[in-house]
Amino acid sequence: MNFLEVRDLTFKYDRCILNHISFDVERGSFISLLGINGAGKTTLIKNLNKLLKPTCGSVFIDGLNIADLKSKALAQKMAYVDQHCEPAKNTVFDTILVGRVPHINADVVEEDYQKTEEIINKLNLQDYALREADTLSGGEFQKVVMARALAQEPKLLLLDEPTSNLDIKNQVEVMKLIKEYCEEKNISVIVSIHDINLALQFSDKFLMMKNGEIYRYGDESIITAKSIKDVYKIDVDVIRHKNRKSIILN
Amino acid sequence: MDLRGGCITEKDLRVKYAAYINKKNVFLLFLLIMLCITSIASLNIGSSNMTVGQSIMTLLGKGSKQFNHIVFNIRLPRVIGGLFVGMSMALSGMIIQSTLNNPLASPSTLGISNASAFGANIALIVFSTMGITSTPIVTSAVSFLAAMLCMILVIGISNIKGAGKTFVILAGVALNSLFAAAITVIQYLADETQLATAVSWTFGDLGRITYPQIKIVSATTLLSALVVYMMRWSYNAMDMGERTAHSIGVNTKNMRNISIFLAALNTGVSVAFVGMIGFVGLLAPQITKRVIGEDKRYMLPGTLLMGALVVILSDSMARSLWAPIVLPVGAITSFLGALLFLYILFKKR
Repeated sequence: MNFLEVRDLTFKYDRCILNHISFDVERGSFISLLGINGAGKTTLIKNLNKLLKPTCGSVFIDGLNIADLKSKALAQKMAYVDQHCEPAKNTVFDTILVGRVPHINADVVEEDYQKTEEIINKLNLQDYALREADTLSGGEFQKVVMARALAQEPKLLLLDEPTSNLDIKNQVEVMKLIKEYCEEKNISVIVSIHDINLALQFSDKFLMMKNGEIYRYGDESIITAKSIKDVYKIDVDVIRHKNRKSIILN
Repeated sequence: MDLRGGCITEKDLRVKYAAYINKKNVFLLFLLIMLCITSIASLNIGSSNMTVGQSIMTLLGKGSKQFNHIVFNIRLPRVIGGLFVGMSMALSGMIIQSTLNNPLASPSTLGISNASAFGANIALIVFSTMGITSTPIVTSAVSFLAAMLCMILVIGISNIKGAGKTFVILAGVALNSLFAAAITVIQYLADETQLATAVSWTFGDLGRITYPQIKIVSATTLLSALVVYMMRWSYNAMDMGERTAHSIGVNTKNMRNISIFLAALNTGVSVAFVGMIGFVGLLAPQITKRVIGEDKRYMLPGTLLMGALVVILSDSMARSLWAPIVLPVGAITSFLGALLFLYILFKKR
């Protein structure tokens, strides 16, 4: 049994957005969802997190069908970071503390404070821990949003274009933080991302989507000039630099 | 009071966090003291020339027969009623703003206040035209039923598949406009006496409230506040947006329905007994939020105290500015509120 199993997932609005998607995810793996806008990446992530209800098909996490899990139980297993997160008028500390909600019964306890403090230290957020979240820069706020999601102690982290509004420095910093923390805690990550080079730098596996279907799913060997041409309709050269695959636009 | 934390490099984050939380508690204490002072001062406003000492002695059961009558039958119900009506309206505003993630949302935005006024106009004008004299109890009951009708409509709209928070707010604005139009038509067809009664009712007057009504308002407010306090962490999650709240394990649909129900219930009860007192639902949560932030553990008591303070202060001014003429308290809350609100917006922008 795999940690996450997606079986025959189909989702339709007025047209078919996801068409019979099936794939497995191992514990602790880092997967990048690749594809053009409208390929179905965000819809897939929202179906995995029950933000959308699949037309048919199932998603199993740790052998449990997510359709049978209550909101709190699901939130203990997976955390989701939206493309457009809104800062509340709270400090960074309080914002991250809210990530403990799936574990809170009547009120926060010492363990919740400790967990929050631990994540703040791990992600190096001490410098602005007591600043209001709505006064932070985009990069700083994105790290806080990640920290909030990690405070849930999820087994699976779903990220929808977490770096799309960041400069290169912050893109790398955010991805590095996620990678290091999730590797240490054995958390699986599924991230929707547009920058293929960034994906190649941090991911173990790649799920390429085209027209609501899986085009390819596998390790970096599936990232070829042909697969990129087929999915993105652009010509690239795939090179190897410092023992890592990279793409260069033609 | 600036509660923003500075740059923290030391390891004692928890100590600094505790100090930050302490500032919130100090602000709550400050609000409580201000509310006590304002309430006692409010007991002394009137034409009988009672001193503060005489008011306090009367409250302690050592007043003359005349002072007992003035304090217990006229002024005290007004002050206690004002406290709970203020809390009730502020609470309604806070939960609607949090759930719909919109600082401008309030029971008025969802049409609930105008629905109440519509109900009162039906009782005071339509019933009167039909030859039925509407007692205050009937007027309050019809007003409350109209608010509940509006609530059912808003909850129904909110549960339509794919209805987001903006959709709900826009639908509320449409309902608000619909009830306002209905009020205009009813008032246009009314005779002068009916019109004067209906307009006077909508002004909002704490002097109308009776002890039995205070029991209803206070029970509704306190029970609602208890429910909201039990859901404080879910509201904290809702402040970050519906999708984030969902991912943290909050049943966002239930939260929306519960919030609309509680807001409509509180607004419906308050407006039914004292008429429309505008702006409190918008003002109290916004001022509190800007001082101590959105953490509902502190914002909830802060908003309740602030709502009570705004209404008591406004009522005191309404009775003293042009004494012996008593101005509509709603006009004062709106006037003070708008000015204070603009000041805060410009100061904190």
